[in-house]
Amino acid sequence: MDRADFKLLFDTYFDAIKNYVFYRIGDIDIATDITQDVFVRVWEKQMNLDMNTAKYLLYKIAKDMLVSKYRRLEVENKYSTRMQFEMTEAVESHDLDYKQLKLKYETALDKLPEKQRTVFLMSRNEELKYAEIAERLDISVKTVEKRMSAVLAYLRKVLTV
Amino acid sequence: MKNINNKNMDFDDLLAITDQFKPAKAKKSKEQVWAELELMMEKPIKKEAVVRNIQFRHWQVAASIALLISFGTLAVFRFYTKNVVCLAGDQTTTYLPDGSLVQLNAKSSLSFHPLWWKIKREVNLEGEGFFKVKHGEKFTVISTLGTTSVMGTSFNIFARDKDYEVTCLTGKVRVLSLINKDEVIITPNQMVALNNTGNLDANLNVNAKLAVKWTDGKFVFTQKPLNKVLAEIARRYGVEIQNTENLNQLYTGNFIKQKDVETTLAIVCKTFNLEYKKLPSGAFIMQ
Repeated sequence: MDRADFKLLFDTYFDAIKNYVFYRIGDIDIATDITQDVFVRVWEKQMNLDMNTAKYLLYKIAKDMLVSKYRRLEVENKYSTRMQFEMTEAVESHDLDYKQLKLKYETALDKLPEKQRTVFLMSRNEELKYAEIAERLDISVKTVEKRMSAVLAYLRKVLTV
Repeated sequence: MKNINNKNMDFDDLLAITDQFKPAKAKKSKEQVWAELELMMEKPIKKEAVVRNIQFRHWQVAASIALLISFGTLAVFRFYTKNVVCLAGDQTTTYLPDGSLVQLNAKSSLSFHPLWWKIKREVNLEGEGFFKVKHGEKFTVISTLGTTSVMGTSFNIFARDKDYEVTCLTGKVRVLSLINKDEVIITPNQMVALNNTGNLDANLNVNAKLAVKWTDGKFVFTQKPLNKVLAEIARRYGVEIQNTENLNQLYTGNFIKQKDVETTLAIVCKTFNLEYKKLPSGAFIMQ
Protein backbone atom coordinates (compact mmCIF):
# COMPACT_ATOMS: atom_id res chain seq x y z
CA MET A 1 0.00 0.00 0.00
CA ASP A 2 1.58 3.31 -1.03
CA ARG A 3 1.02 6.72 0.51
CA ALA A 4 -1.51 7.87 -2.09
CA ASP A 5 -3.72 4.85 -1.42
CA PHE A 6 -3.35 5.34 2.28
CA LYS A 7 -4.29 8.99 2.04
CA LEU A 8 -7.38 8.12 0.02
CA LEU A 9 -8.38 5.50 2.54
CA PHE A 10 -7.88 7.96 5.38
CA ASP A 11 -9.86 10.76 3.72
CA THR A 12 -12.72 8.46 2.85
CA TYR A 13 -13.14 6.62 6.12
CA PHE A 14 -11.60 8.60 8.95
CA ASP A 15 -14.79 10.41 9.95
CA ALA A 16 -17.01 7.38 9.54
CA ILE A 17 -14.77 5.23 11.71
CA LYS A 18 -14.30 7.96 14.28
CA ASN A 19 -18.05 8.47 14.57
CA TYR A 20 -18.67 4.77 14.76
CA VAL A 21 -16.28 4.48 17.70
CA PHE A 22 -17.83 7.58 19.24
CA TYR A 23 -21.33 6.13 18.93
CA ARG A 24 -20.19 3.14 20.83
CA ILE A 25 -18.25 4.75 23.65
CA GLY A 26 -19.49 8.35 23.71
CA ASP A 27 -16.11 10.06 24.12
CA ILE A 28 -14.98 11.84 21.00
CA ASP A 29 -11.34 12.20 22.07
CA ILE A 30 -10.94 8.53 22.84
CA ALA A 31 -12.75 7.80 19.58
CA THR A 32 -10.24 9.96 17.69
CA ASP A 33 -7.29 8.21 19.33
CA ILE A 34 -8.66 4.79 18.58
CA THR A 35 -9.34 5.71 14.97
CA GLN A 36 -5.81 7.02 14.59
CA ASP A 37 -4.53 3.71 15.97
CA VAL A 38 -6.66 1.86 13.43
CA PHE A 39 -4.92 3.66 10.58
CA VAL A 40 -1.51 3.25 12.16
CA ARG A 41 -2.09 -0.48 12.28
CA VAL A 42 -3.24 -0.59 8.67
CA TRP A 43 -0.03 1.19 7.64
CA GLU A 44 2.34 -0.78 9.82
CA LYS A 45 0.92 -4.11 8.80
CA GLN A 46 1.05 -2.90 5.20
CA MET A 47 -2.34 -4.46 4.61
CA ASN A 48 -3.21 -4.65 0.96
CA LEU A 49 -6.72 -3.34 1.16
CA ASP A 50 -8.72 -2.70 -1.93
CA MET A 51 -11.24 0.09 -1.59
CA ASN A 52 -14.25 -2.20 -1.90
CA THR A 53 -13.45 -4.43 1.05
CA ALA A 54 -11.51 -1.86 3.05
CA LYS A 55 -14.42 -0.40 4.97
CA TYR A 56 -15.49 -3.76 6.35
CA LEU A 57 -11.96 -4.41 7.55
CA LEU A 58 -11.57 -0.93 9.01
CA TYR A 59 -14.73 -1.35 11.06
CA LYS A 60 -13.53 -4.74 12.17
CA ILE A 61 -10.16 -3.41 13.29
CA ALA A 62 -11.87 -0.50 15.04
CA LYS A 63 -14.20 -2.89 16.81
CA ASP A 64 -11.31 -5.05 18.05
CA MET A 65 -9.28 -2.04 19.18
CA LEU A 66 -12.25 -0.53 20.88
CA VAL A 67 -12.87 -3.70 22.80
CA SER A 68 -9.31 -3.86 24.09
CA LYS A 69 -9.23 -0.13 24.84
CA TYR A 70 -12.64 -0.27 26.47
CA ARG A 71 -11.51 -3.11 28.66
CA ARG A 72 -8.40 -1.21 29.63
CA LEU A 73 -10.42 1.88 30.46
CA GLU A 74 -12.89 -0.12 32.41
CA VAL A 75 -10.11 -1.63 34.45
CA GLU A 76 -8.59 1.79 35.07
CA ASN A 77 -12.01 2.96 36.16
CA LYS A 78 -11.41 6.35 34.65
CA TYR A 79 -14.22 6.21 32.25
CA SER A 80 -17.86 7.13 32.37
CA THR A 81 -20.05 7.06 29.33
CA ARG A 82 -21.41 10.45 28.41
CA MET A 83 -22.63 11.14 24.95
CA GLN A 84 -21.44 14.58 23.98
CA PHE A 85 -23.29 16.28 21.18
CA GLU A 86 -23.13 19.75 19.72
CA MET A 87 -25.84 21.66 18.04
CA THR A 88 -25.20 22.59 14.46
CA GLU A 89 -25.57 26.23 13.57
CA ALA A 90 -29.07 25.71 12.35
CA VAL A 91 -30.28 24.96 15.84
CA GLU A 92 -27.64 26.94 17.74
CA SER A 93 -29.61 28.46 20.51
CA HIS A 94 -29.52 29.47 24.09
CA ASP A 95 -33.10 28.59 24.40
CA LEU A 96 -33.69 26.55 27.49
CA ASP A 97 -36.00 24.17 25.69
CA TYR A 98 -33.35 23.31 23.14
CA LYS A 99 -30.87 22.69 25.88
CA GLN A 100 -33.36 20.53 27.67
CA LEU A 101 -34.08 18.56 24.57
CA LYS A 102 -30.36 18.07 23.94
CA LEU A 103 -29.83 16.86 27.50
CA LYS A 104 -32.75 14.45 27.24
CA TYR A 105 -31.46 13.23 23.93
CA GLU A 106 -27.94 12.70 25.26
CA THR A 107 -29.15 10.95 28.38
CA ALA A 108 -31.43 8.73 26.33
CA LEU A 109 -28.61 7.75 23.96
CA ASP A 110 -26.36 7.14 26.90
CA LYS A 111 -28.86 4.72 28.37
CA LEU A 112 -29.40 2.82 25.15
CA PRO A 113 -27.65 -0.48 24.63
CA GLU A 114 -24.45 0.17 22.73
CA LYS A 115 -25.42 -1.91 19.71
CA GLN A 116 -28.76 -0.17 19.26
CA ARG A 117 -27.20 3.26 19.69
CA THR A 118 -24.50 2.54 17.13
CA VAL A 119 -26.97 1.46 14.47
CA PHE A 120 -29.28 4.38 15.19
CA LEU A 121 -26.56 7.01 15.03
CA MET A 122 -24.99 5.54 11.93
CA SER A 123 -28.34 5.83 10.27
CA ARG A 124 -29.12 9.34 11.57
CA ASN A 125 -25.72 11.03 11.42
CA GLU A 126 -23.91 9.21 8.63
CA GLU A 127 -27.08 8.94 6.58
CA LEU A 128 -26.24 5.40 5.69
CA LYS A 129 -28.76 2.95 4.27
CA TYR A 130 -29.67 -0.09 6.37
CA ALA A 131 -27.91 -2.35 3.90
CA GLU A 132 -24.77 -0.23 4.17
CA ILE A 133 -24.84 -0.32 7.97
CA ALA A 134 -25.39 -4.06 7.90
CA GLU A 135 -22.39 -4.47 5.65
CA ARG A 136 -20.08 -2.30 7.74
CA LEU A 137 -21.02 -3.95 11.02
CA ASP A 138 -21.11 -7.41 9.54
CA ILE A 139 -24.68 -8.01 10.67
CA SER A 140 -27.91 -8.70 8.75
CA VAL A 141 -30.28 -6.01 7.47
CA LYS A 142 -33.04 -7.54 9.59
CA THR A 143 -30.95 -6.95 12.69
CA VAL A 144 -30.42 -3.32 11.70
CA GLU A 145 -34.18 -2.87 11.27
CA LYS A 146 -34.90 -4.48 14.60
CA ARG A 147 -32.42 -2.29 16.43
CA MET A 148 -33.69 0.86 14.71
CA SER A 149 -37.29 0.28 15.67
CA ALA A 150 -36.28 -0.50 19.24
CA VAL A 151 -34.41 2.80 19.49
CA LEU A 152 -37.24 4.83 17.95
CA ALA A 153 -39.74 3.29 20.33
CA TYR A 154 -37.55 4.15 23.28
CA LEU A 155 -36.90 7.73 22.11
CA ARG A 156 -40.58 8.27 21.47
CA LYS A 157 -41.27 7.30 25.03
CA VAL A 158 -38.53 9.47 26.53
CA LEU A 159 -38.59 12.61 24.40
CA THR A 160 -42.32 13.22 24.27
CA VAL A 161 -42.89 13.09 28.00
CA MET B 1 -36.91 31.74 17.33
CA LYS B 2 -38.94 28.65 17.25
CA ASN B 3 -40.28 27.68 20.60
CA ILE B 4 -40.15 24.10 21.64
CA ASN B 5 -42.79 22.79 23.84
CA ASN B 6 -42.20 19.13 24.13
CA LYS B 7 -45.71 18.30 25.04
CA ASN B 8 -47.23 19.94 22.05
CA MET B 9 -44.73 18.87 19.48
CA ASP B 10 -44.95 15.51 17.91
CA PHE B 11 -42.16 13.00 17.98
CA ASP B 12 -41.11 13.31 14.35
CA ASP B 13 -40.49 17.03 14.78
CA LEU B 14 -38.43 16.43 17.89
CA LEU B 15 -36.45 13.79 16.12
CA ALA B 16 -35.85 16.17 13.24
CA ILE B 17 -34.30 18.61 15.69
CA THR B 18 -32.14 16.01 17.40
CA ASP B 19 -30.96 15.08 13.95
CA GLN B 20 -29.19 18.41 13.96
CA PHE B 21 -27.09 17.46 16.96
CA LYS B 22 -23.71 16.32 15.81
CA PRO B 23 -20.91 14.66 17.77
CA ALA B 24 -18.91 17.11 19.83
CA LYS B 25 -15.66 18.25 18.27
CA ALA B 26 -12.61 16.32 19.29
CA LYS B 27 -9.57 18.12 20.64
CA LYS B 28 -7.64 16.72 17.74
CA SER B 29 -8.85 17.53 14.25
CA LYS B 30 -8.74 15.24 11.27
CA GLU B 31 -5.89 17.32 9.85
CA GLN B 32 -3.86 16.91 13.01
CA VAL B 33 -4.41 13.18 12.97
CA TRP B 34 -3.25 13.02 9.36
CA ALA B 35 -0.16 15.07 10.21
CA GLU B 36 0.71 12.59 12.92
CA LEU B 37 0.10 9.70 10.56
CA GLU B 38 2.45 11.29 8.02
CA LEU B 39 5.13 11.49 10.67
CA MET B 40 4.49 7.86 11.47
CA MET B 41 4.88 6.94 7.80
CA GLU B 42 8.35 8.54 7.67
CA LYS B 43 9.65 6.08 10.20
CA PRO B 44 10.65 2.67 8.95
CA ILE B 45 8.06 0.08 9.74
CA LYS B 46 9.68 -1.38 12.77
CA LYS B 47 6.81 -2.59 14.87
CA GLU B 48 6.24 -5.45 12.47
CA ALA B 49 9.92 -6.33 12.54
CA VAL B 50 9.91 -6.35 16.32
CA VAL B 51 6.91 -8.65 16.38
CA ARG B 52 8.62 -11.00 13.99
CA ASN B 53 11.76 -10.91 16.07
CA ILE B 54 9.89 -12.03 19.13
CA GLN B 55 8.20 -14.76 17.17
CA PHE B 56 11.56 -15.77 15.79
CA ARG B 57 12.98 -15.89 19.28
CA HIS B 58 10.08 -18.00 20.43
CA TRP B 59 10.70 -20.25 17.50
CA GLN B 60 14.39 -20.42 18.35
CA VAL B 61 13.70 -21.21 21.96
CA ALA B 62 11.26 -23.93 20.93
CA ALA B 63 13.75 -25.32 18.45
CA SER B 64 16.60 -25.34 20.93
CA ILE B 65 14.47 -27.00 23.58
CA ALA B 66 13.36 -29.59 21.05
CA LEU B 67 16.97 -30.08 20.00
CA LEU B 68 18.12 -30.41 23.60
CA ILE B 69 15.43 -32.95 24.33
CA SER B 70 16.23 -34.98 21.26
CA PHE B 71 19.96 -34.89 21.94
CA GLY B 72 19.30 -35.75 25.54
CA THR B 73 17.12 -38.66 24.56
CA LEU B 74 19.66 -39.73 21.99
CA ALA B 75 22.43 -39.54 24.58
CA VAL B 76 20.40 -41.62 27.01
CA PHE B 77 19.75 -44.19 24.31
CA ARG B 78 23.35 -44.13 23.19
CA PHE B 79 25.12 -44.20 26.51
CA TYR B 80 22.77 -46.01 28.85
CA THR B 81 24.93 -48.94 29.79
CA LYS B 82 24.18 -52.21 31.43
CA ASN B 83 27.08 -53.71 33.37
CA VAL B 84 27.35 -57.30 34.40
CA VAL B 85 30.20 -57.97 36.81
CA CYS B 86 31.23 -61.38 37.93
CA LEU B 87 33.45 -61.42 41.02
CA ALA B 88 36.31 -63.78 41.72
CA GLY B 89 35.12 -67.16 42.94
CA ASP B 90 31.81 -66.79 41.13
CA GLN B 91 30.21 -67.48 37.75
CA THR B 92 27.29 -65.68 36.16
CA THR B 93 24.90 -66.13 33.29
CA THR B 94 23.32 -63.18 31.52
CA TYR B 95 21.24 -62.54 28.42
CA LEU B 96 21.83 -59.92 25.76
CA PRO B 97 18.87 -57.91 24.39
CA ASP B 98 18.51 -60.27 21.43
CA GLY B 99 18.25 -63.30 23.69
CA SER B 100 21.83 -64.47 23.26
CA LEU B 101 23.30 -66.15 26.30
CA VAL B 102 26.58 -65.18 27.90
CA GLN B 103 28.26 -67.14 30.65
CA LEU B 104 30.87 -65.20 32.53
CA ASN B 105 33.76 -66.86 34.27
CA ALA B 106 35.14 -65.61 37.59
CA LYS B 107 36.44 -62.04 37.74
CA SER B 108 35.01 -60.94 34.41
CA SER B 109 32.84 -58.06 33.37
CA LEU B 110 30.52 -57.44 30.48
CA SER B 111 28.88 -54.19 29.41
CA PHE B 112 26.59 -53.18 26.58
CA HIS B 113 24.09 -50.47 25.56
CA PRO B 114 20.66 -52.13 25.63
CA LEU B 115 18.81 -49.14 24.11
CA TRP B 116 21.35 -48.72 21.35
CA TRP B 117 21.33 -52.44 20.57
CA LYS B 118 19.13 -52.11 17.46
CA ILE B 119 21.63 -49.72 15.90
CA LYS B 120 24.94 -51.16 16.98
CA ARG B 121 25.35 -54.54 18.54
CA GLU B 122 28.47 -54.23 20.59
CA VAL B 123 29.49 -55.88 23.82
CA ASN B 124 32.52 -55.04 25.89
CA LEU B 125 34.19 -57.92 27.63
CA GLU B 126 37.06 -58.06 30.07
CA GLY B 127 37.86 -61.51 31.36
CA GLU B 128 36.46 -64.75 30.09
CA GLY B 129 33.06 -65.41 28.64
CA PHE B 130 31.27 -68.06 26.67
CA PHE B 131 28.78 -66.70 24.13
CA LYS B 132 25.89 -68.69 22.73
CA VAL B 133 24.53 -66.34 20.11
CA LYS B 134 20.95 -66.70 19.03
CA HIS B 135 20.69 -67.88 15.45
CA GLY B 136 20.77 -65.08 12.91
CA GLU B 137 21.93 -62.41 15.34
CA LYS B 138 25.12 -60.60 14.65
CA PHE B 139 27.23 -58.63 17.06
CA THR B 140 30.72 -57.67 18.07
CA VAL B 141 32.54 -58.33 21.30
CA ILE B 142 35.16 -55.74 22.10
CA SER B 143 38.01 -56.30 24.53
CA THR B 144 41.14 -54.30 25.15
CA LEU B 145 43.27 -56.27 22.74
CA GLY B 146 40.87 -57.58 20.15
CA THR B 147 37.36 -57.69 18.81
CA THR B 148 35.33 -60.70 17.79
CA SER B 149 32.48 -60.45 15.30
CA VAL B 150 30.00 -63.24 15.23
CA MET B 151 26.90 -64.45 13.49
CA GLY B 152 24.69 -67.12 15.00
CA THR B 153 27.38 -69.07 16.74
CA SER B 154 28.91 -70.04 20.04
CA PHE B 155 32.43 -69.30 21.12
CA ASN B 156 34.61 -68.62 24.12
CA ILE B 157 36.70 -65.51 24.70
CA PHE B 158 39.53 -65.29 27.16
CA ALA B 159 40.69 -61.70 27.51
CA ARG B 160 42.89 -61.08 30.54
CA ASP B 161 46.05 -59.03 30.94
CA LYS B 162 48.18 -59.82 27.89
CA ASP B 163 46.17 -62.81 26.82
CA TYR B 164 43.50 -62.80 24.20
CA GLU B 165 42.15 -66.14 23.06
CA VAL B 166 39.05 -66.98 21.10
CA THR B 167 37.79 -70.50 20.63
CA CYS B 168 35.01 -71.28 18.22
CA LEU B 169 32.47 -74.03 19.00
CA THR B 170 29.90 -73.55 16.25
CA GLY B 171 29.45 -71.19 13.31
CA LYS B 172 32.05 -68.73 12.17
CA VAL B 173 33.95 -66.11 14.15
CA ARG B 174 36.03 -63.23 12.88
CA VAL B 175 38.75 -62.08 15.27
CA LEU B 176 40.50 -58.75 14.89
CA SER B 177 43.64 -57.76 16.75
CA LEU B 178 43.35 -54.19 17.96
CA ILE B 179 47.14 -53.93 18.12
CA ASN B 180 47.96 -54.33 14.44
CA LYS B 181 44.58 -55.01 12.82
CA ASP B 182 45.50 -58.60 12.09
CA GLU B 183 42.34 -60.50 11.22
CA VAL B 184 41.57 -64.22 11.35
CA ILE B 185 38.36 -66.10 10.64
CA ILE B 186 37.95 -69.33 12.55
CA THR B 187 35.45 -72.13 12.28
CA PRO B 188 34.44 -74.83 14.81
CA ASN B 189 37.25 -76.47 16.76
CA GLN B 190 39.71 -73.74 15.91
CA MET B 191 41.14 -71.11 18.18
CA VAL B 192 43.25 -68.00 17.89
CA ALA B 193 45.54 -66.46 20.45
CA LEU B 194 47.26 -63.12 20.38
CA ASN B 195 51.05 -63.39 20.49
CA ASN B 196 53.59 -60.89 21.79
CA THR B 197 53.90 -59.05 18.47
CA GLY B 198 50.17 -58.42 18.22
CA ASN B 199 49.58 -61.00 15.53
CA LEU B 200 46.95 -63.65 15.84
CA ASP B 201 48.19 -67.21 15.94
CA ALA B 202 45.58 -69.65 14.80
CA ASN B 203 45.45 -73.19 16.13
CA LEU B 204 43.37 -75.02 13.61
CA ASN B 205 42.78 -78.24 15.48
CA VAL B 206 41.64 -77.99 19.07
CA ASN B 207 38.92 -79.64 21.08
CA ALA B 208 36.80 -76.57 21.54
CA LYS B 209 34.60 -78.24 24.11
CA LEU B 210 37.52 -78.28 26.49
CA ALA B 211 37.76 -74.50 26.32
CA VAL B 212 34.29 -74.13 27.80
CA LYS B 213 34.57 -76.85 30.42
CA TRP B 214 34.71 -74.07 32.98
CA THR B 215 31.00 -73.55 32.41
CA ASP B 216 30.49 -77.03 33.88
CA GLY B 217 32.72 -76.28 36.86
CA LYS B 218 35.77 -78.06 35.51
CA PHE B 219 39.40 -77.10 35.15
CA VAL B 220 40.98 -77.96 31.83
CA PHE B 221 44.59 -77.00 31.17
CA THR B 222 46.53 -78.00 28.11
CA GLN B 223 50.23 -77.13 28.08
CA LYS B 224 49.60 -74.08 30.23
CA PRO B 225 52.35 -72.23 32.14
CA LEU B 226 51.87 -72.97 35.80
CA ASN B 227 51.54 -69.29 36.78
CA LYS B 228 48.52 -68.95 34.51
CA VAL B 229 47.07 -72.15 35.89
CA LEU B 230 47.43 -70.82 39.42
CA ALA B 231 45.99 -67.45 38.38
CA GLU B 232 42.91 -69.22 37.04
CA ILE B 233 42.56 -71.24 40.25
CA ALA B 234 42.90 -68.03 42.28
CA ARG B 235 40.12 -66.38 40.27
CA ARG B 236 37.79 -69.32 40.36
CA TYR B 237 38.05 -69.66 44.11
CA GLY B 238 38.36 -65.96 44.78
CA VAL B 239 41.62 -66.32 46.68
CA GLU B 240 45.07 -64.85 46.34
CA ILE B 241 48.09 -66.93 45.36
CA GLN B 242 51.44 -65.22 45.72
CA ASN B 243 54.94 -65.80 44.41
CA THR B 244 53.89 -67.46 41.14
CA GLU B 245 55.81 -65.23 38.71
CA ASN B 246 58.66 -67.66 38.02
CA LEU B 247 56.60 -70.81 37.71
CA ASN B 248 56.75 -71.40 33.97
CA GLN B 249 56.46 -75.17 33.92
CA LEU B 250 53.81 -76.34 31.49
CA TYR B 251 50.86 -78.08 33.04
CA THR B 252 48.26 -80.30 31.49
CA GLY B 253 45.37 -81.49 33.55
CA ASN B 254 41.68 -81.98 33.61
CA PHE B 255 39.73 -82.16 36.82
CA ILE B 256 36.48 -81.16 38.49
CA LYS B 257 36.51 -78.05 40.63
CA GLN B 258 36.84 -79.22 44.20
CA LYS B 259 34.92 -77.62 47.03
CA ASP B 260 38.11 -76.67 48.73
CA VAL B 261 40.83 -74.62 47.12
CA GLU B 262 43.51 -76.51 49.03
CA THR B 263 42.49 -79.81 47.48
CA THR B 264 42.85 -78.26 44.04
CA LEU B 265 46.18 -76.71 44.89
CA ALA B 266 47.37 -80.04 46.17
CA ILE B 267 46.44 -81.73 42.88
CA VAL B 268 48.43 -79.23 40.86
CA CYS B 269 51.42 -78.93 43.19
CA LYS B 270 51.86 -82.65 43.44
CA THR B 271 52.80 -82.82 39.76
CA PHE B 272 55.74 -80.49 40.24
CA ASN B 273 56.62 -81.38 43.83
CA LEU B 274 55.87 -77.84 44.87
CA GLU B 275 54.78 -76.71 48.28
CA TYR B 276 52.55 -73.91 49.39
CA LYS B 277 51.77 -72.25 52.67
CA LYS B 278 48.63 -70.62 53.86
CA LEU B 279 49.17 -67.17 55.24
CA PRO B 280 47.18 -65.74 58.16
CA SER B 281 45.50 -63.35 55.71
CA GLY B 282 43.99 -66.33 53.84
CA ALA B 283 46.31 -65.94 50.86
CA PHE B 284 48.58 -68.74 49.67
CA ILE B 285 52.25 -68.44 49.00
CA MET B 286 54.23 -70.81 46.77
CA GLN B 287 57.58 -72.05 47.95
